[in-house]
Amino acid sequence: MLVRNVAIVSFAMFLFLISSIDGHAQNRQPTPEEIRLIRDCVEKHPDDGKGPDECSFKLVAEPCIEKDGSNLGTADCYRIESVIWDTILNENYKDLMDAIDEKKAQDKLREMQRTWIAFRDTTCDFYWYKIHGSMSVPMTAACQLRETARRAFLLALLQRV
Amino acid sequence: MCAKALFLAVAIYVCACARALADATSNSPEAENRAIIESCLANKTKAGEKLSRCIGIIADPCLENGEDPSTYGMANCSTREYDVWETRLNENYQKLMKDLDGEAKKNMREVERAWIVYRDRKCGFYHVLEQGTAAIPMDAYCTMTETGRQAIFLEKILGYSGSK
Repeated sequence: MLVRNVAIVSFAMFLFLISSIDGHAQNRQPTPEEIRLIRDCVEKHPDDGKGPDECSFKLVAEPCIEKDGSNLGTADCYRIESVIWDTILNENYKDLMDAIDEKKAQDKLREMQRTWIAFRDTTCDFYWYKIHGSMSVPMTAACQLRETARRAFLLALLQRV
Repeated sequence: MCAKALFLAVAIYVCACARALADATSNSPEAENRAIIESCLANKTKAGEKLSRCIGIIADPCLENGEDPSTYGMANCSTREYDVWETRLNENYQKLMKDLDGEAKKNMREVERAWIVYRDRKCGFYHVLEQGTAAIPMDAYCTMTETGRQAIFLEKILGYSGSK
């Protein structure tokens, strides 16, 4: 009985370990330090036009790729940084929406955001159709990161027009 | 004999006209702008720098010089550069469509369609935020920038060879 219990517990622990390793590799969330690096940079470049170049790729994705430069590792590093930009983008979108009081203008903003998502997805996914290889995976992820960061800056800039 | 001489005269005249026209085209402001962008792209490629750095190379100095500070004058600075990128974009698109087939071709058409709608909604949004004429140069600069980026994107895509 004891042997059987030990075996079940060991097997459960083994499963937990496997899933947590796997989880760490592909579902890692950005660390507070990574988030701080990006946010500090964004604050430094609110509207000098240098923000996308200075703040994306260099601070989080590239150091992450240095640790794991495989195809999937690289794509995952881009994804991790994209999570940060996505949060900033959503904050800026909400702030812009709040700053616009006319309903018609709010509808236009919603429509503009929808067309951006369609553009980003069709464009970034196109690498697969052209390349037909695993190289397209990090290229698509880099494209998503680039466009999301650019968009986050634009939505902040539009609040000041 | 007379007919022959007349034919020769007409032929010489036509030749001269065609040459004058060719000279005029190569020295036109459009051709000059095209050459500026082409040499910028070639230099960035050689230096391994981002091609998108070439965007604004005609519009930016024109806007800084402020030759015509009216809203239309400012918009015109961007339109001059827009024309070059638009031509380049169309050339790259045609080349790509010739190069692609099947699903990839269908997808490229979708990419272009989604991009045009996105560009027009994005750049048109300045008119929503700014209801005066000030939105005109903003829209023009935005349209130029987006067209340049898309021309460069297609140029890069053309460079990747698939493993199909």
